[in-house]
Amino acid sequence: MTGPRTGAFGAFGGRYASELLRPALIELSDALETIVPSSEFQAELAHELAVWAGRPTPITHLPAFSDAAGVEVWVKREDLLHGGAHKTNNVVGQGLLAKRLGKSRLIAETGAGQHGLATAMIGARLGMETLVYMGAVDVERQMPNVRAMELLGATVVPVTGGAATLKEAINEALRDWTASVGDTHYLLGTVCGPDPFPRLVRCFHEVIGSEARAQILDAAGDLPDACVACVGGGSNAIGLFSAFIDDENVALLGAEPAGHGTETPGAHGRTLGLGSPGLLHGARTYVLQDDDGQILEAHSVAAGLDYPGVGPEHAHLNDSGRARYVGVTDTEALDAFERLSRTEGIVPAFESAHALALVLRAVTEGLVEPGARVLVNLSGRGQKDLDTYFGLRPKEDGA
Amino acid sequence: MSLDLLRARLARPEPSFAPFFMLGDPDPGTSLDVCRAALAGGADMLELGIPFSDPCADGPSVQAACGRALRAGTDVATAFELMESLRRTSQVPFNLLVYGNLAHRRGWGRFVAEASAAGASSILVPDVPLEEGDALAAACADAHVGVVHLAGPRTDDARLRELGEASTGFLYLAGRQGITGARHDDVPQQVRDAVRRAVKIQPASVCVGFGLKTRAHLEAVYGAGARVAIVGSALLDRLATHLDEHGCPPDRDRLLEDMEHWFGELSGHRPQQQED
Repeated sequence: MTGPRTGAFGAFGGRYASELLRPALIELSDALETIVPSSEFQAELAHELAVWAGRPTPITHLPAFSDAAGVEVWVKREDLLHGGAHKTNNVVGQGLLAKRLGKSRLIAETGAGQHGLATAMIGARLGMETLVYMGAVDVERQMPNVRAMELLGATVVPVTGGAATLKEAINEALRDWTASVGDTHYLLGTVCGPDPFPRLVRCFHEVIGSEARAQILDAAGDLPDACVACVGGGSNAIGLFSAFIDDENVALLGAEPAGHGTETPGAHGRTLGLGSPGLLHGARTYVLQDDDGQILEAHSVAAGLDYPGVGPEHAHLNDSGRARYVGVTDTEALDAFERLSRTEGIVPAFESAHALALVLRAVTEGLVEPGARVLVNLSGRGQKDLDTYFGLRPKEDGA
Repeated sequence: MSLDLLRARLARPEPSFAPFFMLGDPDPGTSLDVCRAALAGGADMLELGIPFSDPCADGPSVQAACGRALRAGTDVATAFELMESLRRTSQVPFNLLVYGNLAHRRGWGRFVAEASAAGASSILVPDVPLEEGDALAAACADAHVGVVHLAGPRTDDARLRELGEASTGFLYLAGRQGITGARHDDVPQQVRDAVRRAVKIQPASVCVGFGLKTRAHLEAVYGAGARVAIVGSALLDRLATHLDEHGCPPDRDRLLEDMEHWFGELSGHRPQQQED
């Protein structure tokens, strides 16, 4: 089919939003094309990323994890970024842009709390009122991040209804923004939503891929054979993939949450693997839906992957065959979480653990050759997940 | 040929009162009765929604109505059946409100054909903008169903004209920037100004919704030139006061009597009681 007229990624993307949001989306789209590329804005962004957010982040070779996986594993350390996840790249960019546009208030949705936390951080830094919508279920399971957001001065609004997770939080943020577009910027946290958000968020995460590409060329002398990242909405994956899309010999692998297993609707979040094209949250993309087009609930142990949609660029990369998306269960992710913690001294976020779990299976599944060089986006640190982890896998000695 | 019913209605000198209902809310049987109460109470048109899991252009009242209807098992086919039942005994225009994914999933052609067969006069898809609306417009033209576009207070003149020209049903003007939801105060001057501007600069009949609640509100927007006024969230809220915690109406007769009475007030067929 022909693509959408605005913001198309192949047959996906577009600006499927209420007419009432159109002026704000046009303003933002214009800003992406004029303000963002300006040398003044780029200098301010680079400075803030360096001195406040801690860029560049390193890449780390993982010898023990490599042995277990049968491939040469390198991780891009977005877990070391200020705030503990890649989300900070996007909030610095959009925060500075919102300021330029004269907005005084930031709103955001959050799943795992990482994006909400990052938005609260930049809101405090830039002196902007910040309000974060978060599913009531996620508020419960990510309490450390909720407390941190409140410490940073943000208001966290628990959203009930539906599964009370990320999808409902986005609905609520869109509702707020429709009423508040004059003074408010919706700081959307992933590469979803109506155009220009998928392009805008991608643009601010491209730094992940561009740094990692230079770093691995420097450290290993060559490009990786594969790049691997977890995909919920897909922003950390797009950030990494963006620098390698034109390198045809570099495989792009996305780990989707298979949750409790993919036999039951509602037990997983395998949007690309098991979904179908639909319209959700402003874009034509793959969604989990029933025969009528009602959106289904997703599940993942990783709150940040618990979403029945996906960024439209991933939908395009999937259909064009440029990237492959593979399911990883909660159990596999928790196993990888433990392995990385014990063998490499790094506690990954549950989200990132999905990508690591995929690496452990990549040779057996024929996704990469044995001994291949694999670059994984370690998109966040796992401190936020400790309560959930110990709830799921209590220490057997009772200590 | 329900578009002709809409055109005939809009051609009449007096403006139209259109209550909004979510089909299947709180359950398919009660929904049908409530719509019939509205018609008995003097509704000139109906705006009928198909429940969607994620109505993100709508406020809490519509979201709650979607939830009740879906929990009661209202799928798209049921919604069309309800509309068809209403059409059998009523010749008022029906404007169908549907979120894009439900139509996209069936395919635009099939969806609009089914809607037309069920008696829809026009269709509003709040999350499909003009730029992405070719398939919808083509399907509507084929099925002789009117297209309704949404505009808002921040919509500039040029865009308003563009939307009005593409609206073969009518132009739906949101009385204020935001989501649907009932308000308690009067219709502000800027809403009346927005209606006058829309009437003046674009060709389609202007319908006003978002935040209207009383006969006085309706008269204010009629006075500014609106041909249709929609009361939505306030009705859904009133309906909800008759439901128990499971979304069931313990006293259906009382519910219907109350709604019919209120429709009479809103439509101007019955003198209005004091606002509480």
